[in-house]
Amino acid sequence: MTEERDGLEQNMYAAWLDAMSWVAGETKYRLLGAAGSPRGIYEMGEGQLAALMGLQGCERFLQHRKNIKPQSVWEDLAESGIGYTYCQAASFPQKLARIPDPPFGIFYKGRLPDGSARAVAVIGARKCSEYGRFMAERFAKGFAGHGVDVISGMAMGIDGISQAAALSAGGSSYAVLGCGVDIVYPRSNETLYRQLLESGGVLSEYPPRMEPRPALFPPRNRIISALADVVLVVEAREKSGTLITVDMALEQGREVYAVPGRCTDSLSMGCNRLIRQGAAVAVTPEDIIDEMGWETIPQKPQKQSQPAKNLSEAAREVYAVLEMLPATQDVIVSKLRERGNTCTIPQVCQGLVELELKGLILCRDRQYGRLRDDL
Amino acid sequence: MYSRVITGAISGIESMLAAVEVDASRGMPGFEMVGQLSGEVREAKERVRVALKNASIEIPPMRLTVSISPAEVKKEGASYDLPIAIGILVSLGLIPAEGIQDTLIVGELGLDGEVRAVRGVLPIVRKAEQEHIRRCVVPSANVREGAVIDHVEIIGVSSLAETIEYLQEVEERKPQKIAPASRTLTGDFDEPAADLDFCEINGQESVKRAVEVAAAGFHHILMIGPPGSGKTMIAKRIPTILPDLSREESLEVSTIYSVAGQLDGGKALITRRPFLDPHHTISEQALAGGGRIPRPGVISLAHRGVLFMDELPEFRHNAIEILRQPLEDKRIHIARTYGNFVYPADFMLVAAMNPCPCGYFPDRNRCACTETEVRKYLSRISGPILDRIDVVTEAPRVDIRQLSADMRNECSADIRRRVAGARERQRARYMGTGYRFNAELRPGDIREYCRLGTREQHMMEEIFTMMNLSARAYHKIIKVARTIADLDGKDDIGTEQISEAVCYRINDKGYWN
Repeated sequence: MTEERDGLEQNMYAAWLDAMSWVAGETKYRLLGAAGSPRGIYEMGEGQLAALMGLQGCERFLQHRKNIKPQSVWEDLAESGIGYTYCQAASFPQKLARIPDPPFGIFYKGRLPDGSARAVAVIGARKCSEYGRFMAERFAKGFAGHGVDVISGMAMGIDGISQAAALSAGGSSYAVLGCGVDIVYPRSNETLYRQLLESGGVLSEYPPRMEPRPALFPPRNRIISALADVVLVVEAREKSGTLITVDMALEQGREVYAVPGRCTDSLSMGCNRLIRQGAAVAVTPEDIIDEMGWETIPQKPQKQSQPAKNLSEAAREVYAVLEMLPATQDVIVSKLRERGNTCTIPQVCQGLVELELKGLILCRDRQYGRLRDDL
Repeated sequence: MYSRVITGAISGIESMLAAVEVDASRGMPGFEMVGQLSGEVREAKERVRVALKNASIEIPPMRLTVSISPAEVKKEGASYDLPIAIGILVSLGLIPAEGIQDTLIVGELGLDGEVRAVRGVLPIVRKAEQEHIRRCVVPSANVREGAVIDHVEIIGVSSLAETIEYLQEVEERKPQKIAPASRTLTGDFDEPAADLDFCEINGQESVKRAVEVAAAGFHHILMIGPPGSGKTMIAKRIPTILPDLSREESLEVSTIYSVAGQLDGGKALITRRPFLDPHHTISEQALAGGGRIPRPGVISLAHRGVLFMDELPEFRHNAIEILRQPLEDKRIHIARTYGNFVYPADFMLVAAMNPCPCGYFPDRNRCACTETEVRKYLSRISGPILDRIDVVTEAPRVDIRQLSADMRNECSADIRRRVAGARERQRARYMGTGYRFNAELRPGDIREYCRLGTREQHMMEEIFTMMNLSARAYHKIIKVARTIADLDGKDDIGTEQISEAVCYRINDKGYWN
């Protein structure tokens, strides 16, 4: 009992310390080393503080200690439903503790990642292409199906898409934010944020109410890669922030996979380059799971209707020229023409609608793309 | 002595007969004009005085009173100069009263006595015909315009002196003085064959087909595509696949142009469907019609033709919103101090836009717009306008092979024949209902005119749930399918037509796809 109470109390003091966002993680660890426990830091004498933090830091620390009580920090957190754990606590994710520059503590909403669960960080460009969207969904769904968590940054593009896909496939997903966990950024991912709170969690090393700033994002990337066993890059330009995460993943000893793309697509340049430099090629989620030696959950054979039998001639022709990369109707028509096909526009439309109704292709923004490779 | 000269007045595009009454009596010499006159009409006093002087007619020192009736209509324009001058001459006894009997006179005067062209001759002469006026004296520059109307003698005059001589002549000898203009036939004004034709467009098959469908059912159409995908090229050719203007339509359109003062000299009738492509910086007034006494705006000049709005999202929000009423009622009401004016505005809206601010979405090699930017761009077009657009098509970038290829493409004439056929079917179907085109069908009547068989009904239900359509999108698909069936010469809508209509859909639930 007392031990537990002591743990809680230490947690409270740690949260109080972590609420000082201006103190670097390194300094916090130094203070902890000297004092032994967060409570010890709180009660530290002025002289020792000045020696450890410098005069200016010490002054701000004293100010903080004078104005803000650990109890009020703790109550604030409880009130907004925000959890907190720090490096000495039992609940602190072990994967995080073992990296070169570990965060001092983690604020979170929802759950913390399960230490024993397998996790893959799916990351990539914010402005992604349809191909990127498709691949992100495909991998995330695959991981979710095999009980692998998806970690990402809840950003626009690949991040959000993969997390949403993992959740919709019944998996868990965790987002690491570059702002306080009570701030939804970007706002357009509000729905995803709520879903994450239910079947996963939202984590941040920054205290609540911390507004997003460009400088906060690169450090949070190290937490994304640290929480994962594998980092999968879906789409990245040659100079991309995503590559920072890759560097950190390598430093932390994580496996790096990249989804290959066409050499001419600038959004695939980053991935192709990674592969050239030795990253593993990610083709299917099962490949990664196999290569990592994780156990797979036998998938229920998906209800694959056998549409090939009752497809009309027009639909079959149209399907033959469709690719995973979505194309507009006119592109489809010109591809048909290249194959010497002379079907009329109404026939093409008929084929497209038939395929769409049968769930074989997807129409997004007036672009048609295959949902599956085989027929 | 008192005299009365018949002339015409224009209010909006409505024309009416007006009378210029002149009284010359003894008393304090002076020149008074009454009858709600605008500045230009008031200035007629000076023009008339000098023009008469230069025609060597001295106005004796008498008290002249000029009244233009009906008094409650605001008079504007310079077309009253000539009738005022003639009225004065009649009241002074210089022209016999019978000389102006049953004669309508319009024209502006120069100081040298020259008679200049005026606006609105066509509707005025048309009104004169309805009122059984026998003869119209019009500026010679407007003769061909007036001569479009049957049963009225059109006399073109180029100077005040000539007019006076003509009116002084006894009735029998008048034709020798100035022969009435021969009737202007519609055919006379066919401009040299348009150099625009659909056969010049390589590739773009889907877009061409969508345009054909839209033209057949008078559906408004939106083309989305990157810069250089030929949207403008296609839009410019849409008038060439619309059926020719009927004589009635041609008169309607010409009337608008006549009132707007946009019939050029040699042209009497507009015989080709108008094509208007206002720049996106256009003001609301220029679009709808403006001025103290409003002149027809661009949307009225596009009556019975095509209004092409390139870069639709770049238009001012207010300007786009103005289109709401015309798209619904086919005309525009403009309220001004001097009254309410109604101008016809029954046009086919052809809109074009880029898919995103930079224009290249979803080609991520060239487009760097964020998804938010793309969505914001699309949402700049207000819902009510999108609601009125039935057909949406994607114009992709044309690749060089297609551009340079020597392709045999269908000519406008062939497409026009099909469009005309589809319109004929609609005419027959909607005889006596007030409808003309499928696009006009109200939801309540869709069930009646666009019957679906069980198979088609089933398909629509499937599409409705599968594609998460709104009720409005559902109705649009059926209307467009009806048009496609008309193009195909089918009495009933089949699954093929529904399929094709689905490909032109515009989903208005949230983000449209």
